[in-house]
Parts: sequence; structure tokens; C-alpha cells
Amino acid sequence: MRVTNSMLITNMLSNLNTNLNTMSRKQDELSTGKRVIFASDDPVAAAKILKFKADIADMYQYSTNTRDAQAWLDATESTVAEMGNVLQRARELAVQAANGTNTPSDTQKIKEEITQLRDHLISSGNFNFAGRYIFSSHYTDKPLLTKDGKYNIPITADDLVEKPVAIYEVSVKERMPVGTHGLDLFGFVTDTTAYQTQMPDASSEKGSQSYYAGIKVDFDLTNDYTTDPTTTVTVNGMTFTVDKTALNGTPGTPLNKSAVETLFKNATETPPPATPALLSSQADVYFDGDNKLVIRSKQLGATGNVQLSAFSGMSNAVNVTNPSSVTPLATVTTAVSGIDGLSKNGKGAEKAALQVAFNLKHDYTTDATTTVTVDGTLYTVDKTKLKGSAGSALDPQAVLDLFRNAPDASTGKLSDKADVYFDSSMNLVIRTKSIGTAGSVQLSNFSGVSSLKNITDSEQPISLAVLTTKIDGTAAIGAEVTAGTNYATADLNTYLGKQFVMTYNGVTKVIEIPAATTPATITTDAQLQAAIQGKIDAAFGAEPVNLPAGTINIAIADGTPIKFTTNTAPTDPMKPTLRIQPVKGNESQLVNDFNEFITALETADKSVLGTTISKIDLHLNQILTVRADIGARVARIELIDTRISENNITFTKLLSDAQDADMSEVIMHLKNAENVYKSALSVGGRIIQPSLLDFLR
Amino acid sequence: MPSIFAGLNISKQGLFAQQRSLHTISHNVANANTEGYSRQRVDFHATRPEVLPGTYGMLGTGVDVDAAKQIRDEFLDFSFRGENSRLGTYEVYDDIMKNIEGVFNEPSDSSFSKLMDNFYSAIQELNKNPENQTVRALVRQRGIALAEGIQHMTTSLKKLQRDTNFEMQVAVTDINGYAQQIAGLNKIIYNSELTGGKANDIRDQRNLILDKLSKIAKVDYYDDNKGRFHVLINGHELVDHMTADQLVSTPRTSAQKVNEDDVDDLVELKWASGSDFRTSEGSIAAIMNMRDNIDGSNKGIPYYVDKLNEFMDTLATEINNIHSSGFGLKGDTGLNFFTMDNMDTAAYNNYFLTEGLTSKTGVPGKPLDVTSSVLTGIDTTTTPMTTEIEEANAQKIRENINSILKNNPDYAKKSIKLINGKYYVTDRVKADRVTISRDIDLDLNKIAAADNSNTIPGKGANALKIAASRHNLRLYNWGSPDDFVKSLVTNLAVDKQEASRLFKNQTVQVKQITVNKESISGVSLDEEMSDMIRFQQGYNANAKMLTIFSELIETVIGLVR
Repeated sequence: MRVTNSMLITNMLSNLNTNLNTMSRKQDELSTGKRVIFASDDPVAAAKILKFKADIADMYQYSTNTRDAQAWLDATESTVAEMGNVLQRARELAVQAANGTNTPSDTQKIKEEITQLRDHLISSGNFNFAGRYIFSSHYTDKPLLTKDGKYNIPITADDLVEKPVAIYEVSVKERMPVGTHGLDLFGFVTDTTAYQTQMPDASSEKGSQSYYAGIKVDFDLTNDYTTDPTTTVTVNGMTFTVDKTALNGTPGTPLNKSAVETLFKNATETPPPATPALLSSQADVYFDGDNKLVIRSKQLGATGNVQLSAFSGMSNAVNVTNPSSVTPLATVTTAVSGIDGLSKNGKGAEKAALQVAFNLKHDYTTDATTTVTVDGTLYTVDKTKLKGSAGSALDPQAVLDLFRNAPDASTGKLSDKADVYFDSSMNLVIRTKSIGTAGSVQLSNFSGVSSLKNITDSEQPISLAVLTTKIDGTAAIGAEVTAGTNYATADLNTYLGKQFVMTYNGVTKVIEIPAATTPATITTDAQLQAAIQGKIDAAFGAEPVNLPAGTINIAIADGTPIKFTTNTAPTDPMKPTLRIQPVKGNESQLVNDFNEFITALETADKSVLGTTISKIDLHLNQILTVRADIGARVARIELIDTRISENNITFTKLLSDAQDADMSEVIMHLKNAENVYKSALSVGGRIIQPSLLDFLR
Repeated sequence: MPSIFAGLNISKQGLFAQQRSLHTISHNVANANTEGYSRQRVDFHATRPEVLPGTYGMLGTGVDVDAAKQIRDEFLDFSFRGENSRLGTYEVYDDIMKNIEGVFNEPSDSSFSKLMDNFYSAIQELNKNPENQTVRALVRQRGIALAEGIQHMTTSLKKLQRDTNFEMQVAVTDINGYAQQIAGLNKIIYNSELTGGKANDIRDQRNLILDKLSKIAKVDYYDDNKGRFHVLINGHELVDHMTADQLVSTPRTSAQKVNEDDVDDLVELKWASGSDFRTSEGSIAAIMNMRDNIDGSNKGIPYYVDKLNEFMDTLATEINNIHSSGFGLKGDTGLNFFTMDNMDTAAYNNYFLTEGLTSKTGVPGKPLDVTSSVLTGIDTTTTPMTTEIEEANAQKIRENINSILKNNPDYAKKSIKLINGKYYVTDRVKADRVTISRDIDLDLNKIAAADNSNTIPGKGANALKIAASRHNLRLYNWGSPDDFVKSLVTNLAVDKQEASRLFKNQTVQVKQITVNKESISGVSLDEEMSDMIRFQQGYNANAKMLTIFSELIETVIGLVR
């Protein structure tokens, strides 16, 4: 090979450049300390690095969460422990009080101390940690108890069961309640007045909106529709004809969904007016999640309707109007891809017969059951083998055998009563063996048939039965909540001053029924109803809901259940529109017991004093249970915390493994590259310089 | 016997031939460093001998010069141009992928996944302290950072697309210029070769331009039987002898956009003679792929814009759905956390309800209501609703949404959003327009931490639901948000690695052919110098012969005296 000077130079430059690149890369690694600087340096490691980084960020957050949970639990525990001490002291005093030798002044002293202890308990229940009332469930901005020891937060039936408290996420998908509900400490006295039974405690049905009328059908993309009778779609009274000339799907070449949608959307109005509209102006067409073709009116509610005429290859037409109750239509059983034909009775000495254009390349297996009725006897055709396709036609003899052997209900078969054969034009003919008017032939549910004729009577075509389904959209309906028990005017007073919780479309408000006044202003059902109505309107009329007055109505009448109704459509089909939950009471068992104790001390009621000790014991027990529960949670938190720190170490190590450069290795590589670079320079310098020129003179 | 003067003539021819060679050598030496120059060699042949009568045989009559020939291997030229086209392709891929990788900037401590870490961490704090304004402010700021982060990435990608478009126009100018130059050179070569010679140096110029052109687009070329030179790009005649076709770039209208999210005014290339411009290799083909391809084997900028849109749309829609089902400190509900262009929730919903679905021709229209299909198979009858059923329902809704989008090819790049209690097929939230909603921007109380309006203010269950979306493995086809970012970055990294590898290999290959070409056509000074001496000596020897003949003649003349 010839070697020229410029070759030497080009080669040297390119090699020097490669060396410099290597060194620059090593320099980057050294100065960043990282092995992977761009993701493309090592895609696999880059994916790992991203994962570990996200994991470590998670760990960090969870570790913060556990620390916060621990602080909360510690604060709760010390308060509960203090309540335990208070109860212990109260128990000693109760023992002392039960002693028969107390002087009235002793009793007076005990009473005063107990009163103090009660107030202390109340203030413990209202303990505030970092600006939040920790026992008030989620009403963290409200003290748990009022000054006289009544619950300051509305307690519904749900609250009594669920006792909701704050929940922290301490690990992926691992959540932990960190709060303690005041109900666990203070107990609850259920209100037993008639209000509780007569006020509804229920939800309305879930949202029933107004919907667009629609129809959905299975659509077989591999079917050939071109031979079907004309398909029309009727939407809101306008009829559109679908151009099916392009709908020639086969199992090998299925139709394009986009094209099918477009064909339907572009179906033209029939009969065409001066300016024919397209179906897309009246309806939306799309494939839904189950790959069914949906045609839906654009008109909302009962004014919209959709109607579809027979179409082969499509089956299971259903109403899509109401998602919560997809109602199969009555026509589903016969809507399948076919035609019903009834031959006219044979004339004179003729035998009644049907002539059907039979397509040997059609797939009949997906059709509904096909039956042939001859002279009143019904035969069912086994179509499982009738799977023709464009590529492979059915064997005519096999088809005939299938028809001839179609069984009736008992042991007979079609060939007993009818002749079946292909005529010269390859039409399938079914002819009864009975002569004259006694004979009749009827065929049902057979797709892929383009013409069906009664050949008995001058070969008159039989008009095809058009199978239609018509669905109307559902109009909006309001929600309604009623109570099971009848309201009685006699119980009116038990309603006054009570509360109930009302949730409308997810927004919850506490409604307070006005308290009894002197002189009484609410004495009739109408007045009660007006008062509650006013409160509801005020609560929901305010920011941020701004409902117009009268959207939610209450009806109260003697001898009938109390009924709440709304006059608007629900906005969320997933949630109940209206929910009523009466507040189940506002008295605390613990505070009540203390009050009872104090009253007994005042009246020196020995029988009550005797039972007080055991009552306080029960409360002490409850406090211990709560403490044990908190203790268990603290222990769990600590375990989780340990696990998090261990994971953190592991992940940090893994991250370092994936990401960080091995310094000694990089330096070695760098040195190596440096040596190569230097040798390249010196060799280049030596070889390129001299040429023959230097030796000529 | 021949005349004595014949000897003089032979020597004269010899002198001329040696002189011609020396000229050529000096031409070679002078052009030793000229780009595209091929060395030339003068071929000699002996002139036709004189046939002497009788048995005297043939008498040599001297030397004649054939022509100065170029030493050039056409096959190497051909394979160089093929490989050079590929080099142009991979060079562009490598370069643009490097840019895209820079936009994503993963793995680093200032990348997009870091913003996501921060956002979700703020949400966790919100669960713990839902009534705390400081924490709410933190959530807002982290939300803004997240939105701006992805906005910035998308805008950068779009800017890159615009730059790429510009690069393509530069390439078009180059092609047009080269075409005209080749046509001009063709004219000169054709005219000067009419007489039968070879226009070596001008051919070198033309070959050099072809070499350069081959890097931009894959070219075919041939001389027809009348000696006219043709250059073709993908079968279209760029140069037809003395006329050159030109590429014309016309900006696409919005209806002509190849991808919905392309920047405006990308140009479409056409030949001035009418037909569309197509080419499979060369830098312009690669630029076009990078600029336009949303899928396929050479995924370009639109793919990454599309993926960012998918990412942000899904995340924003999911967080919005959760957020709007929750309640703010003052009981506000139905508000979105993310919107576009800092719209408030009402404006955002209104935007989607009136012009939220862009058709294939780029016309915005009303969205398609698919509520009934989305809610198929949802359990709404069980009371009370358990968490399991709620989760199963949410999962079923997500599945329905995915399959509806999949079942309608027209909606493949669309999204299904819950707006005012109904599900609509709409455009995606555009990642370059995403912001936090104006409601939240103006009022921290509107961040919906509570999942129920009777759990205000102390319970952050809704914040917890938002936090859970980070670990929702079914949120994307590729898994959770983290998985999505990871997959996208890995895909990009593998593509970039592949592009770099191909570029490196191709560089070596082109270098090898260049060396081979150089080995054949390059000027070797050593060789030229030794030739110089050879021909110098030849010249001297001929001159000596001339003197000898001259002396012979003198001798003959002397006889006469």
C-alpha cells in the first residue's frame, strides 16, 4: 500500500483525538466522582440510580413521618397518663367518701376536690399540642369538650363506630393511626329521645343523572357487511343511512376502526332534504372499552333516542344510557344479524318453500340460533361448522347435510318434513313436503343473507323484518331520604336543640335545630319544618357551596316519615346526593359519672357513692387500655424507624455502587491514557518530519 | 536507412515528454495539500515505428505523450459516498440525542425526578399538618416547581425542534448551492472535454462537491452515454447535465402538522419541479427524522415531547381527580391542583368543554362525553362503600379509560378527563403549558387536604390519597410515575448509546476509506521527488543525445569541406 504524508497526518490527528477523548472522559469521572454522568454512559446503571434516588427520598420522608408520629404519640401518652393519675386520686376520694364516718365538712372537701378533678379531666380532654386539639378527632381546631363536659364536636353513628383520627403514612402503603379519639377516653351516653328514631339516618340512592341516549353493539371487524340490507340509524327522529360498500372485512384483513367510525359519522340523512345532515351532527360514534361500537345521541335526557336497524355481524345491542343499570334490551335475542322470513302458504297443489341466497364464504357461527319452522314444527340448525371465510368456502354438501339433519324437540329431523337443496343459482331452497295450504316454511336468524324469497307465490320477495331497538335517555331525578319511623307531633320537643349532619354532593354541614325557648316559638310541625329549612338554606347558601334556597327541602307532617328531597340532578354518579346523619348525643360517660358523684356527695346519697368506685375502676381500666394501645403503636413506630434507617444504609450503599467512580481505577486508566497520548505525540513527531526532500540537494 | 535528422527529432520528442512529466510533478507537488486533489501521471508510449524496406525491420521513431491521467479509484469514491451518507446520519442522531439527554439531565441532583421527590414529600407533610399554612405554602411552591420543571423541559425540547428545523434549512441551502455548482462544473467539463481530453482538475472539484453533498443526502450519480453527468437523490434528478433542480421549503400550516404538538412553521421540503422530497440517509434525513418522528425506530424530539405530555397529563389528571374530590380548609371542593396557563379551575374546565378536543386537522372542538362507557362495570350499589370497592372502582375506571383510548385510533394521543362529574375525551394537558391552578395560587386554603367536608381541618386523608398516586403502579402503562421517568430516561439512554456507537463505528469506517483513497490518489512527496530526479535525468540524457546528433551532423558537414 502506498503511504502518503497526509495519510500519516490524518491518522495521527485522529488517534490523538481519540486519546484526548478518553482522557477528557476520565477527567470528568475524576472531577465529579461519578461513573455515570449521562444516562447513556450506562443505561442500566442509570435506571438503578434513578430508582435508588427515589427510594432514598422516600425513606427520608418516611423517617420524618415516623418521628412526627412519635412526637404526637408521646404527647398523647403523657396526657392520658395524667388522666390515669387523676382517676386514681378520684378513686381514693370515692373510697373515702363511701366511708360512713365522714362529717359534712369532709364530704364538702371531697366534693370540692372531685369538682376540681372533673375540671382537670375536661381540660386534659382539650389538650392542645402544637396548635391542635389532639383528642378532637379531625376537628383539630375545636376543643373536645365544652366547659360543662359536653361533647363540643358532632358525633354521628359513623363516628361511634369508626372513631376517625389522623393517619400517617410510615412506609409505602403502610398507614398508621397516630391520634386517639376522645370517645375512647371519655365514653359516650347515647341520646334515647324520639328524635333519634324519627330523624332519618340514611343516604339517598347514588347519583342518577340525566344521560345521553345511546346504543352499543358488538361490532365484528372481520365481517363482510356489504351484502347486508340497508342499515339505518335513527337519532332523535332523523334517519341516516350508513354507506356499507367499504365495510368488507374478512378474518384476514379486519376493518380499520377509524374508518368504521368515519363511515358511521358520515351516514347521510334519509330521505335527503335540500341540505342533508350527517349522523355526526346528531350523535357521537366511538368504540368503548369493551370494543363495542357506541352510537350516542348528542341530546341530553329523555328527548334523545337512538334506533338502529338490523345489521349482520353485530350482536348484543344494549342500552348504554344508564351506566349503573345496563339493561339488556328485549330485542337482544332477535337482534342478531339475520332476517325472519315466513313463506306464504303453498298455493293449490304447490308446496310452500323458501329460497335463500346462501353465501358459502360467510361465517355463520357467531349468529344467534337459527331455526327452521316447517308446518309448525321447529328445527334447530347446528351452525358450529358453518364457518366459511373469503379464503375457504363451505362444502355445499356439508351445508345441506347440516340443514337436513337439523333436529326438532324429539327425534325427528328437518328432512322428515322438508326437502333441502341448492338450486341452479346456488340458492338454498327449503321446501315442505306437505302440499298446498297445509304447508309453511319459516326461517329465522340467519346472517349473510341478501335475499329471501317465497318461491311458492310467483317468487315475490318477502320484505325483511327490520329489527330496531329504541332507547331513550334518562332524565335527571332528584334525591330523597326518608326515615323508617313516622314522625309524631307529640315528640316535637325532643327535636329542639338537636343537631344533625347533612351531606349534599359530598359537602357536609352540621345543622343545628333551634333550641327550646321561653316562651316557646316552635310549637307546630310547620314551625319546626320552617326553622330547619331556614337552617339548611343558611348552611348551604353560604360560601363555598352557594346553593339557592330551596334546593334541599325537608317535609315534616304528623304520622308520616320525615322526608328530605333535592330538586337538582346529582353531579357525581359515584356518590350519594344526600345523606342525613343525626348527632347521636353529646354527653360523656366519664363526666356524667363525675357529675353524679358530685350530686351524690351533695345529697349524701349512699347508694350512688357505693357504686362510684366500681364505675371509676371501669374508667381506669379504659385509660389503661388506651395507654397499652399507644404503647403498642410506639413500639411499632420504633420498629419501622429502625427498618427505615437500615434500608437507608442499604440503598445509599447500592446507589454508591451504581453511581460512584472507583477512583483508583479511574486514575490508573487516566495514567495509561496519558502514556499512550505521549507516545503518540513523540512517534508522530519523528515520522512525519523527514521526507525525501530533506535528503536531496 | 533513415535520415540523420530523425535522431534529432527523437531527442526533441524525448525532451518534450520528460518536460511534460516534470510539469505534472510540479503540479502534483503544488497541490499536495489541496482538498480533493488526485495525483496525475503522464503516460508515454513509443511512437509508431517506421517500417524499413526489405529485411531491415522496424525503426523506432521516439516517444509520444498520451495524456495526463488522474489516479483515482471510482469504486472507492462510490463506497466513500455511501458510507459518508451514513456518517452524516449518525452524526446528527448522536448530536441531537446528546441535546435531548441534556434536557432530561438524568441522573443528577437537580433533575426532574428530584422535583417530584420534593413535591410528594410536601404532600406527606400536608397530610400530617393539614391546617398549617406554612406547609400549604410549601405544597404550593413545590407544585409550582414541578410544573415549571416539566414546562421547562418541554419548552427546551420544542426549542430544539425549532433549531433542528433551522439546521434543516441550512442543509437545504447547501444542497441547492452544491447542485448549482455541479451543474456549472458539468458545463465546463463537457465543453472542455469535447475535444477528447480529460478536465482532471475540474473533475476533482466536482468530485469534492459530490463528497460533501453525500454527507447531507444519499446521492446516486452516473455519466450517460453522451458524457452528460447526472446526480440523483432517491431517484429524483438533482442535477441533469447543465441544469440543477432546487429544494423549496414551505412552512406547514397548522392542519399540515405531522404531530399535534409540533412547533409552528416547521418547513416541508419539495422540489421546485413539484414532487415531494424524500431521502433515507444523510444528515438531512436524520434531521427530518429527529424533527418529525413520534415513534418507530428513530424516535425524535416529538416522541419525547409526546411522552412528557403523556406523563404530565396522566399525573395532572390523576392528582386533579383526587384533589377536586377533596375539600379545602374553608370547604371549597371541585378544584383542580394543576391547570394550564395559570387558569382557575372554572376556566380550565370551560376551556376543555368548549375547545378541548383538537381534530386531526388541528381544529379545536367540543370534547366527547364517554361517561357511560367509562363507568361500565362500576359498583355503585354497595352501601356503605368500602375502601376495597373504591379502589377496585378506580382501577376499573382507569382500565376502561385506557381501553377506550386504545380502541379508538383517533384518540390514541388523547386523554379522558373527569370534568364536572362527567368523563370527556379531551386533548392532553400540554406539558409546556402546565401550571398550578389559579385558585390555589391565590388562596392556600383551597388546597384540598381533607377527603370529606366534615373532616376539615384536622384530617389530611386526601393528601394521603395524592401521596399514594406516586406508588400507583397502574397509573401508566409503564407503571408508577417514578417508573415512567425511569423507563423514559432508560429508553433515551439506550438510543443515545446506540447513536454514539454507530457514529463512532461509522467514523472509523469513513476514515478507513479516506485513508484508502488517500493511498491511491494522494500525493506522496517522496514519490514525486524520486520521479522528479528520474525525469530530470531523462531530460539530461535526451539533451545529451541531441548534442550527440548535433555533433554527428557537424561531422557529416565537415566531410564536405
